[in-house]
Amino acid sequence: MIQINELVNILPVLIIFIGIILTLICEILFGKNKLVVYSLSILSVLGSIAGTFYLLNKDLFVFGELLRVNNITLAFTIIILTSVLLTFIASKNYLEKEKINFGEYYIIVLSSVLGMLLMIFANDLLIVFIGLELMSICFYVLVGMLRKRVKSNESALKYFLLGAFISGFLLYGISLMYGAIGTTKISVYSTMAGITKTPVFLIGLVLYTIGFLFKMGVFPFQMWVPDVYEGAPTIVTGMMSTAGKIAAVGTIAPLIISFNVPDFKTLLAIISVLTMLFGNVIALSQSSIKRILAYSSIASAGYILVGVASMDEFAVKGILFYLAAYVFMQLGAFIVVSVYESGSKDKTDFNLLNFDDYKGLAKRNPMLGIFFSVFLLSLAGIPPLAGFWGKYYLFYVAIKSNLIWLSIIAILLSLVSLYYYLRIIVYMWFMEPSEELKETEIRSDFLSKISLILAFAGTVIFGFLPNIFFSLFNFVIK
Amino acid sequence: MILKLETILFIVFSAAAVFTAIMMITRRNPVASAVYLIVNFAMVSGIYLLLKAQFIAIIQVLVYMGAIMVLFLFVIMLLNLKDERKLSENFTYTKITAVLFSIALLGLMSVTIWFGFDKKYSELNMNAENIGKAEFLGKELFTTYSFPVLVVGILLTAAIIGAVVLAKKKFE
Repeated sequence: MIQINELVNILPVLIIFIGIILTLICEILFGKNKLVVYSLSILSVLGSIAGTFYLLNKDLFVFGELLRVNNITLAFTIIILTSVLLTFIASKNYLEKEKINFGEYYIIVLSSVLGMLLMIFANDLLIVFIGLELMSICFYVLVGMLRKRVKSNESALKYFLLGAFISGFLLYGISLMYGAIGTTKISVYSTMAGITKTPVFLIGLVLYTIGFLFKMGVFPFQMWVPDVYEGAPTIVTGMMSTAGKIAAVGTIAPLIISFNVPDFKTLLAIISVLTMLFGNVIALSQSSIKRILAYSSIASAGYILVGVASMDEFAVKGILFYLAAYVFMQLGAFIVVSVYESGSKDKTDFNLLNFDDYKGLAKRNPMLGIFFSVFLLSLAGIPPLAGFWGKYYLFYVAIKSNLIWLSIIAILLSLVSLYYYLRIIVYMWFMEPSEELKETEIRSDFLSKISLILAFAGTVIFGFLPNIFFSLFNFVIK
Repeated sequence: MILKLETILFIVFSAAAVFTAIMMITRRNPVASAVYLIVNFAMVSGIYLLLKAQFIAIIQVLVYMGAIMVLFLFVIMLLNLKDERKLSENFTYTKITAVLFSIALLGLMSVTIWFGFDKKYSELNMNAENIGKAEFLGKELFTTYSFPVLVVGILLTAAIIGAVVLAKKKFE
């Protein structure tokens, strides 16, 4: 039941919703001038971030327990919105370069954000499912947006088919959970003691979790990640690998941690080891930068699962810190790639994505070189950058809950990742570019520089002052 | 043993549904598969009727048997499906493993569902009788669940915009 006076309690969602409607109208009225739609969509994300601060320290149910607002959901919301904000700022340059600067891009991205926020806020499995579908359908479209590229088409179709298949798993899980307990309200589940000992409910929960593990790109549901991330427009890949992944984590991680099933703990620990192993080892043999970043995002999902597997109240805080750091470094890396890449001459394939194309990049454009090196070092987990502290807190939580073996494996595997990150850096700084490369110009405008600087600042400041930022998340768990 | 008419009908419908489903995935000719799928939908809608879900049964017939099957047949007509025979004869280890795992999952889930229902919680389903009636469904959708209905509206809008972008928009 919608009551008007309750609308203010879901201010972030409401502002995004109004943003979608206004962007739609403005796209029709000022179709030629893309700046109106562009600034409007950025404003609505900013407004939504402001809206989350209005709701801080409230714990309330909205619309007859369909949605729930508390500090954990708000923290995830802020991280997602930051990621989308950075994406939006950097989008204009890339879209103009690829000649797909449509107003519809902003509308679809905003709709996907609405889906993510609903997933995070949901207190009813129905809303979770609708939110997930809203997010996924928008992603399918965004992935296939570069319609003339064969790879973009292929990845859109692949993502769509697999995503639709996995939605079946999720829905079946939800129906089993409903059949076992007789309600879809998530808040009711935590009040029922011994609910996880009901076998049917447990099977439903496993299928439900599988749906989200797929979206996170966790082994053995990771096969779509490299292909889809490679074929999608780079700026969309950046958003999918940060915001989309965070939305899935933010929906499933607090739920699993609140149930605290012992069998799940072992299972998730094993899955996370396999995920980290798969991501880090296969990345060693890749030659495309985008594929390497895709495999590294699989590995990151493994690190996040280390935190989830520890099943500790404190773990949510560690996951939040890692995700906040992850947004800056991963999105930053993808923005650098998107600034540098260009279409091939006949516009049917991507260009400038291989190792060889990155030879001597730092000499030709020192700013891009420095930024990319910092993002990669942070992803590898070199102190004192943000990625190091993110991993530090996750592994610390794992050690605290007696998963010492898991954290040792995680540390060893993240050492493996150093090889392929450093290889890119060596190519950028110590190799001479070919004559052909020297002639190509690197097109980066003022706006994408701003978003790179923001991501860079986030990575470095998080790294040098981890305590301040970690205490920022104190409002989640005191 | 005296069987109720409902039980007999249920056995007939579900046996036919399983049979047509198996026939559907084993046929070589895609049109034959599609026809078996139609029969399968009809049987499932019969099961819905037995469960007193009249509205869902009607929707099943209208949407699935009517709209979706036409789409399927159009796709079959437009696509060139000559290589289908080759695909089905290509048995690899991946496929064998996949089949084994699916059988294991099926076994696990059927055992759990057979033994696993807990009587303690199942009394919460008070509305189970009403759930298929159009009146009850409409009332719930426009009062308790009015918010999800609105969100589904946004979902459809986004899907339409996406379809237009992918299919209609002029590219340089």
